[in-house]
Amino acid sequence: MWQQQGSRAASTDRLQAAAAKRGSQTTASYVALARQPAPAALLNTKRHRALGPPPLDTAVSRSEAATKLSPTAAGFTGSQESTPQDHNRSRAAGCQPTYHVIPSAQVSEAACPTSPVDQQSGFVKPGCLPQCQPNPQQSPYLPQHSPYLPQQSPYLPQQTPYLPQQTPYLPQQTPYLPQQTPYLPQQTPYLPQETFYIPQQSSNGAQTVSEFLIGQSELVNLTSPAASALATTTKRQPPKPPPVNTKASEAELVTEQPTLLSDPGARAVVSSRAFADFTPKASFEIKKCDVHRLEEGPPGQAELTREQGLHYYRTMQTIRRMELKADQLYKQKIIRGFCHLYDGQEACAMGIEAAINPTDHVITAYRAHGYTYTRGVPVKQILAELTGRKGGIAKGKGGSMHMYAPNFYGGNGIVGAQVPLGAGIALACKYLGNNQVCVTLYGDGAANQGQIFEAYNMAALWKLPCIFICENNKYGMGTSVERSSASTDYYRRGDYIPGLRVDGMDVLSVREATKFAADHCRAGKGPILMELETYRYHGHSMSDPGVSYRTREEIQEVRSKSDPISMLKDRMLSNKMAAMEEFKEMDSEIRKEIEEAALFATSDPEPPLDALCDHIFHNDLPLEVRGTTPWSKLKSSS
Amino acid sequence: MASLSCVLRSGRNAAAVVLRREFHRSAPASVQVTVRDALNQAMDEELERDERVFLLGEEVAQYDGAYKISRGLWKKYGDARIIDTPITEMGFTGIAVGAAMAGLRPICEFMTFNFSMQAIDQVINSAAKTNYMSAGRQSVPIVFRGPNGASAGVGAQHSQCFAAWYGHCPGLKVVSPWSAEDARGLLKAAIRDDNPVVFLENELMYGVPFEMSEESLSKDFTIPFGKAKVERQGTHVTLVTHSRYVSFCLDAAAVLAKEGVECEVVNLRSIRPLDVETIEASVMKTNHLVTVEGGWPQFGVGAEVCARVMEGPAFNFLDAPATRVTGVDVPMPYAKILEDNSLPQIKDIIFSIKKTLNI
Repeated sequence: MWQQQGSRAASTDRLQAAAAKRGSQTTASYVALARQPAPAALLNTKRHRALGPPPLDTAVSRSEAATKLSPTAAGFTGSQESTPQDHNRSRAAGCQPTYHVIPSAQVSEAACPTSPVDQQSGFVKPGCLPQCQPNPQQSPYLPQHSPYLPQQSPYLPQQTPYLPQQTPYLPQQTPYLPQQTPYLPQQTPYLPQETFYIPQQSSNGAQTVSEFLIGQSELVNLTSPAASALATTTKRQPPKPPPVNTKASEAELVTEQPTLLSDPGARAVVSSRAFADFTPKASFEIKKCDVHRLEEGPPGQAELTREQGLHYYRTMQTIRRMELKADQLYKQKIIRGFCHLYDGQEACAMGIEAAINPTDHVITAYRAHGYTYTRGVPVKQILAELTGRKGGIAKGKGGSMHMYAPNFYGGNGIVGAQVPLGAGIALACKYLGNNQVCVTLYGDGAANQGQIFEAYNMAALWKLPCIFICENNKYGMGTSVERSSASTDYYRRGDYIPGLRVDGMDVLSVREATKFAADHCRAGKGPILMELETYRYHGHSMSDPGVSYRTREEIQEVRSKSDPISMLKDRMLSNKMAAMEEFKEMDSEIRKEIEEAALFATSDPEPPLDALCDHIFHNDLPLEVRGTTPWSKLKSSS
Repeated sequence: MASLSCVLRSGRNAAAVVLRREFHRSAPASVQVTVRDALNQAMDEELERDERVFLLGEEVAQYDGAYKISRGLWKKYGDARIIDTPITEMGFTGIAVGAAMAGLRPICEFMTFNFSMQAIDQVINSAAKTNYMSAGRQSVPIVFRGPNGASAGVGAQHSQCFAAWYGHCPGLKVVSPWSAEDARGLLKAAIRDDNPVVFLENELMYGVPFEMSEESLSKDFTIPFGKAKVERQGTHVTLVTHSRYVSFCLDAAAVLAKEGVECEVVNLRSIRPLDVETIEASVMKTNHLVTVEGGWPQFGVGAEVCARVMEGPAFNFLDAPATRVTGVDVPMPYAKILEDNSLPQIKDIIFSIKKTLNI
């Protein structure tokens, strides 16, 4: 703008000299300049750096400048009150306007006695603008005035949240390290020294936590009045800890099935405690869903059995630890490229899986590790795929965003493209008449994609059994929902499609809502939309620290008040559905499982080069593939 | 009576219909079938053969097809298998790809391939790349078909040739039939293939009748991909072409034959995979190469053919640089004179051949 406003007149040699001293007028040189101590000639100068060099041809007074040289005059549309002061105000917050017109030499001191500009040098007279004292320390070229200077830039190291001491994700800051977890023995109230009666230890002593627990259970049996019969049973050997399967087989994923425990002895131990201490089933109030075009939503009560609760806890905790492990591996540069983490949103994946059958279909976008796990892929195959090894679920060919499993269609990198795909899978379900539904997930960022509305139209027109689910984690990459969407009621976006808004941090709410939605689709009523209000703790991906568009306080608040895993655990503990030790034990098992998986993922070999061209086609004869040069002919087998 | 009603209903190919339906046993060795009918019959037979095959696209059902390719299919198979879609290419292409992932075998019709550009993300990113990204776990057995390239007076936005665009991408098979036999065999092969196939037809060829042999009318007649056909044997120059320009090359060859120049016309059939062996064998025989296509020259099919020939043994047999005859590098104009001069004409082909042969 400034540069267009006219050329320098010949009579402005002085300013040109000053300009020459300053070096060339490019932004980079300004920044470089700013890092140097301000030369004496520039003291008392109040020009706003970003405004560029002053126009020197016309003799303008301050008032003229206000009309001529303001953004409005330059052709910007805007409010009439957009004076230079206003223009500046938005730039150098907290500082008085530093916009000054440098009149040419024709304007005499007599003509403008009150002008703050010194006619000799063309710069502002010292002391004229009291708020910005012309002090070497206050020169606009010095850090504290310009918003563009390093100390004020949000992008410099000392201000960036990227430094180790500022990231919450370093070991010393993660709550999951031993020294920070409340789950260590020394913090539990259940230590022997706190009991009144110490039973006779077995010959080996309590070697494991579970052995110890057996000891405690004997204590309970002996002291509780109703259990005197049990006291006469022979001393049992400490069984292995109840092996609740993390990689749930298909049968387990069906709703309402209890967790399979392979060792009957273990079951006896657990159930004896359950019998004595634990509530087998409890009913919880869940938040009422907002509905759109529906008479009523899912019920306000959800039943949870002990086995279900432990299974959900285990699954969600596995996903959480797996994502944190992926975070660690990414920071060690063992995982590269894209890595979109799912921690914070575990209740969505677990709740949906609990409500549908293994024969139903799921398709989602790129934040897919949680769903890959709940759809049956073991952690080690997920981590190996992330590290690009041949033991990965896609043999290292796909990466973070392209993991597939039976009835799980990925993992899709193009935002929104998975929604028509999901509607197509629902079309296949309807075509084949197999009473299956397809759960099609997308995010709040994708919710504005046109192809999603095309999919809504066809799904509603043809009554496809498709559950459209918007996982609203409030931010589409770095853009909050308020800044991206004219309507943030994503559950209403389907217009003619009925919708539900669900608390996505509560696994029971998600489960009940998904059951409701699946019943709706299976009854042939057509598609339905669900919005899950959830939150992600990490940034959009590993290259996003996640704090430049939201505050750490917000993340901490969600973590402390609505963490899905903590909520489930608190519910179960407060209803005496499980003991703290069981959770701790599960945590340590899961930790071990993840460590082993990470070890596999880092030690498994990469796919062989011969496999570079494999799987271009399916079920095809081997074909020749051109390599990088005409002489390199590679082979492709299906 | 049946034959009379057939004749009344479908005037143009009545003869073919009658011959086929009434006098099949004593039919002559070949029958005249238009490309349109060949496509129609191929789809009909494949729909009958496999229940998972279905057709979706704009106007394919009740309208009998925008270009009448799917005439009669909706009446025969109904709403469940012949699906009219709204005008939402990206949406219905994605739906077709999703259905293919879930185990069906859709035929996704684009009214013209120009509209496939709106859906090209689904074709390439969701269909072509999936089998590779999933290391073979997830296949996408789908056929995308429709008219490609220039038509008559339809303007710039409706006249683009996508052979080079789709031919660029690994994971896709791209075919471009010329004759009715090509259309029938390639479409059957495409529907039976477990991979995404882009089937580039040509609107101006739909109504052209071709003789079809008994063998090519059989229910299991398929043409393998990656096999070009030498439509005319020759000794002086190889003309490599596809789709409508095979006709032009044959006409040019007929004209030049009177002057003593024998042209070998190679009908590519498959753009991807390209049959380099046939081209090389032909070039090694004739020592001259001219490629003819309707698309734009830069990064086109002809450019690829020339590069491949240059990289292979056939280069040493070339007596002159290979020549490409292509469409003019402009968006297609509307006025007839401009449009006619935007596409290769027979005189351009003859001129190029003579230049290549230096005669």
